[in-house]
Amino acid sequence: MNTNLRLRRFRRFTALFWLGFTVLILLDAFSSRVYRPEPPPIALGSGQAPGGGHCSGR
Amino acid sequence: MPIRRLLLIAGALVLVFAVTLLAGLRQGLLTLLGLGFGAVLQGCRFGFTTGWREYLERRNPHGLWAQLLLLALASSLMLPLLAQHSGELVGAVAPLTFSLVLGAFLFGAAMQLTDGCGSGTLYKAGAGSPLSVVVLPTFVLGSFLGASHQPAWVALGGLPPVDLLRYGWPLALALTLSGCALVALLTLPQARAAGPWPRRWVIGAVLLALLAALHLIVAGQPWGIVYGVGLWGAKAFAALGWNPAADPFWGVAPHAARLAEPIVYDVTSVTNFGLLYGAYAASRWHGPVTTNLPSARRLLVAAAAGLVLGYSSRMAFGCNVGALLGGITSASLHGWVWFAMAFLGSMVGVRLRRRIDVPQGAVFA
Amino acid sequence: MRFPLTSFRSVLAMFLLAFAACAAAQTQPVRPLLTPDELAPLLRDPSVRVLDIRPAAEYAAGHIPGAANIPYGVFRGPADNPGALPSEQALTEALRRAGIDHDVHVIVAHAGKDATDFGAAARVYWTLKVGGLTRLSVLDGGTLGWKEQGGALETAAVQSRPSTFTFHYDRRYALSTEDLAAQVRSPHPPVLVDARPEPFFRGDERHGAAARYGTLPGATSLSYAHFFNADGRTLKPVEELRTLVGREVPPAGKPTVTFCNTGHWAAIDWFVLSELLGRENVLLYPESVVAWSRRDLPMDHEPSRLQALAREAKRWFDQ
Repeated sequence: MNTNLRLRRFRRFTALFWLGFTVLILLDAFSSRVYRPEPPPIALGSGQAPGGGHCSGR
Repeated sequence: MPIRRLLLIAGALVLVFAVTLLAGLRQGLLTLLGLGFGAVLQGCRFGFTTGWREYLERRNPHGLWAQLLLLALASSLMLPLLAQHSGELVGAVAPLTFSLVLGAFLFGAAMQLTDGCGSGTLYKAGAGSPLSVVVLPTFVLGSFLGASHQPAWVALGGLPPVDLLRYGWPLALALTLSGCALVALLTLPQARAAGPWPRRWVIGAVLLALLAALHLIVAGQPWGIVYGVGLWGAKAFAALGWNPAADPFWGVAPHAARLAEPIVYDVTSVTNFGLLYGAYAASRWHGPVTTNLPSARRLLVAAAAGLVLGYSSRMAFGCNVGALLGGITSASLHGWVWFAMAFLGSMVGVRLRRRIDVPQGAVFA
Repeated sequence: MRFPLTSFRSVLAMFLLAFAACAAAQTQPVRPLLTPDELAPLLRDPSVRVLDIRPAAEYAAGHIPGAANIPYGVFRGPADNPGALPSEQALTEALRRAGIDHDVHVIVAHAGKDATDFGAAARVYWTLKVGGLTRLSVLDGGTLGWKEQGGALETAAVQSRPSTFTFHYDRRYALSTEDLAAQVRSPHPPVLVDARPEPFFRGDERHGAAARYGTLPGATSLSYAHFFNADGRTLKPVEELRTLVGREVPPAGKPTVTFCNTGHWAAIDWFVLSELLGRENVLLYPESVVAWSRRDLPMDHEPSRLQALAREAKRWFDQ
């Protein structure tokens, strides 16, 4: 197969991939009606512990 | 300024604004920091994988030294903050388990086949590298499965966490800097032979250290990658009907709450979004890029390795960002164990890579 | 030996008289609000128990003679929902230890430093009433007011004889968020009274644990602060309160529900309307806006998303 054609096909696949990715994130953001108290913009000085969700297991 | 650059900047602003609208000021700020991470990683080609491979294959420690500079600078900024604001800022501290040793080793090997660690895969995927675009979905799947199995791996045992901050931040910082200096000293002769240190890596290390400290200040926790990546997988499976309630990881606090909330509420997810776009914008800053499509075999191997990459990162309490950078700059010993084991893994990984990178025809010769 | 009939009769008569007196003492209604002057003679009555709701350290530093201590925190929920009802078991244990029972006249004594302290007393009063106790009062001005009126304080720990009281919520009076949501959606919604200061009602400010700005749908603003004298600590005379409430929340022949952020200030509104003014059918919504704003439930005066973000930024700069 022509290398250029393959590359163009792959580019199209990549564009579709990111489009799908974005759509899924937006669907997720708009489908879940969760209300939470917004954390202070900056954790330092807020007096609040971070909520958790880190690779180290927290 | 060329219209292309204005469009790239506009895209970044739209991203930050959208996340802020959906999830608030802190998440918007974190997206902004993520953009910075992505732009610096791509702009400086700051990779952990390549740096290690250059040392292993060519005895050139420049990349390794850039990482050590990053570790030293970030520790100097972060350790005093962590010590003085323990209620608001929490470091990446994890136990020294069997899973850490094995997971870091597997991660180090896999990242040579995926041609990117946690941050590397993301920034290269954002920049449009076909290999990393192919790796990303399996990386997501692996991180999700690895997280789900993490409690079982941890249950195999090991030693409790060692947090050097217990001895005060000056000593913790002194020990951390000594560790960095020791690795640098061991590679000093080769550094002399390799010639001058590329400036872009020094700049990259300084900027990444600043961004890492800012991330700690804003998020209250060190920069992370794979937590969010695994969460995307869990979200996808939950949407397909999987019930996370009984899962030993995704069904318990605080992960169950993260899963129930929109993805944009998660810290590592929004920095990842910013990172992906930041790397894209940086890669297109000087105009269109030329891409080479690797062989189908190479892509297939990378995709399979991506599964291992994601899975092992959760066994090891994070990737090069969450565990190596996060752990060491939190003065947790697990960061150093991760460093050593992943480096050993990479020694195996570069050998495997050489066997896969042979021309396609030769395999059947 | 013959049993002396006359003496038997007299014993029986005395016994009956004593029983009647006891019964009268128990059924005689108590005043919901007492001044320090009114409290002083009651302290000699063994059926009266002052309940000091300040933290244990403040109690130990000096309390009204004979007062038992149950810190206010025992009557509150967790930090992310402070208005949530504590478990019946926890309250039963605390009240038994304090020797509180149905026949005890409980006089709630708060710190008395400001109107918000009064809210704590009102919330405890409400909790005890919803839990089955009927002989309840609040000491106007609290422990500080007592001290300033020349009342003695003691530091000795008070040993109470444990009671056998069992606390049980009467769910008709302890509105859950689901109950209230259903009532608000029904064709005959209750009159909702927002006890918070006006900036909360208007949606300019929020409680730290509330997820949204604004108030409950159709609510009327009646800030607790209007009920207090210039000292900001003691309640205005009842007739003045009646005029004030009559103007803001005219009787409507419908149930009235008071709320605030965490069911603390709202307890003051409830106390004034229900206990002091004797309005019928006045309820307190204990979890209030903090719980309501986290559910997918309608709110009034909710700012746009951009306005809310600006308010978040302001919250942060002001802190």
